[in-house]
Amino acid sequence: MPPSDTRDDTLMRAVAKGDEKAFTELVIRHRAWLYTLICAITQDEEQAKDLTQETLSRIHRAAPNYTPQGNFVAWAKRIAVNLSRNYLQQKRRATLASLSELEGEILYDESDPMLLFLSKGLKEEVRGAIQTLPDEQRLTVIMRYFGNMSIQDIAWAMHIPEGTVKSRLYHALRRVRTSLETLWITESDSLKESKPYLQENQKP
Amino acid sequence: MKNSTIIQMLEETCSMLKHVDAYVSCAHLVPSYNAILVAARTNHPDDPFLSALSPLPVVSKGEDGCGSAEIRVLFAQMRIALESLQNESERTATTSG
Repeated sequence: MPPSDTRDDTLMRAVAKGDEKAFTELVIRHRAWLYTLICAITQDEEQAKDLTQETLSRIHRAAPNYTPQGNFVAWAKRIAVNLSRNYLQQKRRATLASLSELEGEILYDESDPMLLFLSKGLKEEVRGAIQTLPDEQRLTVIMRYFGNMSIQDIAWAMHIPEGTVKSRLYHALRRVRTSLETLWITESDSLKESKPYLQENQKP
Repeated sequence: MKNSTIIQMLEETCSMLKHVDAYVSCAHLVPSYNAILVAARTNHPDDPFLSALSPLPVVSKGEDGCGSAEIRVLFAQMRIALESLQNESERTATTSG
């Protein structure tokens, strides 16, 4: 995600006056990270395209009422997150598609650090543990650790109190740790059974 | 080194890396990453999560190391490992922003 700057506010003021070129510039500046953010939340590339269009459309419609405060990115992010959450709620998905399917295509997207979550640098086991979190917890973890968002920004984007963000993070990290410890300790035990000569400190 | 200090260092490094292009080499941060990992492991020698994280190979001058995106993921991962060790009161104290 690019940092907000006054250029966005200037463009929004122009869009409010009907300047379509200004809107085109806004789209060019922000479409990529909006798409990848929505992809990360919905885990559905096709749907993400539609939701990105819808987000941009809402930005366009809201231009006359937009208050320039230098936080366009946070404002746009909130629209994208809300639309994505609404989509997930409507779909009532019991299980989510694997984020790793997207890995090859949007690896290290230059405009959206949130997509770091999909990158190969992250241990597969850690990504897997985060993927199995409930939607709200998973989204909070991605925003916090891979989007580097503050507690306040997450609370604002998700329309929840800061305490709820902290609570979600706490429970999410507990779950991640529990599932990883279970996995790694089990693996370690099975390795010791198959290779009893391994010493305790020679963990795989 | 206190856990809270390590976490703060990780958070600040990630914030700084946010503004660096994904493919820019961050080989100069590898020694820092390795040192922080050692400090974290020293605090939690038996932790399977931290034990599973590997130190990064130090590259010589002039060679390309890992990019900013890659090292940022690794810092974030270590932060998750450490923050997941905190109890609720510690978390409240360190998740100020």
